[in-house]
Amino acid sequence: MERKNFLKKTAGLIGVIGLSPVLDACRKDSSSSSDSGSCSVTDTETDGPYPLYGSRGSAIQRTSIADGKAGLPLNIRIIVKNVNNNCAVLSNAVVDIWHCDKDGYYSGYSNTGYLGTQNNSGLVFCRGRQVTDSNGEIGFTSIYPGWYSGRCIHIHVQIYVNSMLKLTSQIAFPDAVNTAVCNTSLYAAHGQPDTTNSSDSIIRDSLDNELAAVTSNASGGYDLVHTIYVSA
Amino acid sequence: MAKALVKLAFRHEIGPAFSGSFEKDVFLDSYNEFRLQAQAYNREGVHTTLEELIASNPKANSLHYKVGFAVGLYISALKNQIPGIKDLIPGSSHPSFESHEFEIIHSNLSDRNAHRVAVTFYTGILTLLETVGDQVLLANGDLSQLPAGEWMSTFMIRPSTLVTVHQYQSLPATCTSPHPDLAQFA
Repeated sequence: MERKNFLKKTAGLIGVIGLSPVLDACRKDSSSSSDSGSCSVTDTETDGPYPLYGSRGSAIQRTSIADGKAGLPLNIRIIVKNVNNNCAVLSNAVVDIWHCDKDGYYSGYSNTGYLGTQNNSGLVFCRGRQVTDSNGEIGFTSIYPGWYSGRCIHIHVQIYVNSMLKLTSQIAFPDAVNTAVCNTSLYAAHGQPDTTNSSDSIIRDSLDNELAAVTSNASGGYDLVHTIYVSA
Repeated sequence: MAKALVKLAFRHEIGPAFSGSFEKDVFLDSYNEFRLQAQAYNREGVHTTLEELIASNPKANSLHYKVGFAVGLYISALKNQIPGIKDLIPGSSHPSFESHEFEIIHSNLSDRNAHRVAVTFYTGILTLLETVGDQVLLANGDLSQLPAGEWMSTFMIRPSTLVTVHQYQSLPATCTSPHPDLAQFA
């Protein structure tokens, strides 16, 4: 939200002094996935009520995070780039992700959804932590998330560099893919999400840099690729 | 003979004066993780204690379970054995835990020695057989239907502020009448 708030607060002033083309240029740059030229930090979002991280004894430092949860397979590939280094890929960044299961429930503690209350204390499904490689990439295998009331389908993400929290953000999925997934037998019982990307109060003004590329694959699942920009 | 089915909760508190490898790992890593994760609720860097973080942002209350998952592998490595319990009852039957809950009792971002956490271990079903002095006689599992005269493996536990009956289910009167002393554990 920080960049968004900054833009909202300063847009009027910039307009007055006639620099709106500069602002437009910045907005286009922020959504660029190019690793050359300028780029902007991915928007900050709320961490939601469900984040957690790992340590040497972490139960979530792993690549396969579904823990047997039912759902369509989802391969997650996240690339981290550094706005302070000409948008070059950033290695050794800690990437924590978490998302709900196909029915909209998070692991970690008791939460209530359309199937009633589930006590998921002590469970870590759909949570993972990895360190970016020399290509600035990490990969997780999980399931396509479901949804809960008031939110579009999303993944939470936090980026740490040298133990410093650099970004808390979220990753959105294309609405059309969400619709297709929620029509499949595994997800149909819950119906279609009550919130699309454009109606989601948290993510709707950040889709230029928080919407992932999601495509179906030959295995019957989906591949997600998303680039996140941090200031490191 | 069986009087009730119960589930016990064992609260294991860990502070800077840790005594074993499990306690050391949990103490050190949970403190490091607390410092790491507290950043999300302390962007201005003005708070130092858990209490201050929560007072400033109630969402910081989630630090309890967030930090708890960071020591999940240490708890898994216990293989359901409650720390200290097995050693207290050498060569005897003893309870194991089925689930756990992590809690930060207190912490301070600038003083590791102020860091204190607790892991509460919850057992599965135990059969409460008798009270003997200030201790209770228990057996693992539901042995309420065990015929009279059968031998069973048992153990004794002294309830305290750190060991309590977490759940209680009375047995039908046909088994036996509840012992008056058990009322304190219900």
